[in-house]
Amino acid sequence: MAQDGVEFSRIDGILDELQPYLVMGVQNHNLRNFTFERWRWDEPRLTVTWAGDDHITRNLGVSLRFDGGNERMGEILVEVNAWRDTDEMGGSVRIRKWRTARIGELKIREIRPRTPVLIFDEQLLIHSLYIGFRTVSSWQFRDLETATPIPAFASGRLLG
Amino acid sequence: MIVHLYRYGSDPIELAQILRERRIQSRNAATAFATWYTFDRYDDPAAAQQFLALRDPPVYRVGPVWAFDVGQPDIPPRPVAPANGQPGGGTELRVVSSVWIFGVWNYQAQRWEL
Repeated sequence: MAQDGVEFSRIDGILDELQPYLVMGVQNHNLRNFTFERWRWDEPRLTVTWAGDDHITRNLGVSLRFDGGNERMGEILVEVNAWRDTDEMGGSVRIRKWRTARIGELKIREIRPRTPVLIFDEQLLIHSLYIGFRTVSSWQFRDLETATPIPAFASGRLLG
Repeated sequence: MIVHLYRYGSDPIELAQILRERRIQSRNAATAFATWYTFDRYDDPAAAQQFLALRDPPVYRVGPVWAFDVGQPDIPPRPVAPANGQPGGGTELRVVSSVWIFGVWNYQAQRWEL
C-alpha cells in the first residue's frame, strides 16, 4: 500500500540502494531458478522467490515501513517464508502449509535527499540476509507448522 | 472466459482519484503505474489482508470491473505468496493500463451523480 506522505519515486530510490545487498545474498547462497521482484500491491518490497526439489517454495523479502508517513523515520524488515499447497478431501479443499519468520528489523537512521539516500546499519542487514537465507533453506516439509485453508487457485472465473 | 476483478487499497490519494475521475490506476510511477487486482471479493478487510498477504487491512475495495476492460496482464494470474506474516493463497494479477469505471456525470452541475 502507499506510504502516506512519502512519494513512490523517493521510496524506489531506497529500494535501489537495498537491491545490491539482496543480489549479493542470492549469489552467496548459490540460488538457481529464482525470480526477483520489486514492489507488490504498491508496497515497497524486494522479494526473491525460488522452488526446490522438495516442492517447497521459499521467499525472502526486504520491505520498508515508515512511521506515520514521516519520510525520515522508518524500518527495513527482513522476512522469510516457505510453503507448499496441497489439495485435500478429494481436491475439495486446498491447504497451504507454511512457515514465516521475521528475521530482522533495522532502524533507518536517516533518509537523505541525495545518494546515498539511506543511512542504516549495513552489517546488520548483511547479517540478517545471511541468517534469512540460511534459515528458510533449512526448513523441511515437517517444519511448515501452520496449515491454512486457502481459496482454490483460478486463472479465470466464469460469471454465471 | 469472462471474469471480474477487484482492487484493494489504502492510498487516500488513489481513492480520491477513483472518486474524482472514475478511473482505477496505481499512482506508483516506479512501476509504470502497474496496478494489482484479484478475482476475489472480500467483504472482510482482514480476509483481504490475509489472502492477498498485505501489510495492513485495506481501506477500500473497488469493483467488480470486467477483465476485458482491464486488458492483458503483464503479470498473469498467480497464487499469492506468503508475505507480511500473512499466508496469502488468494489470486493476484497485474496490469499496466488504467480502467474507467461506470459513472454518471452531470455536465450542468459539474459533478458525478453516481
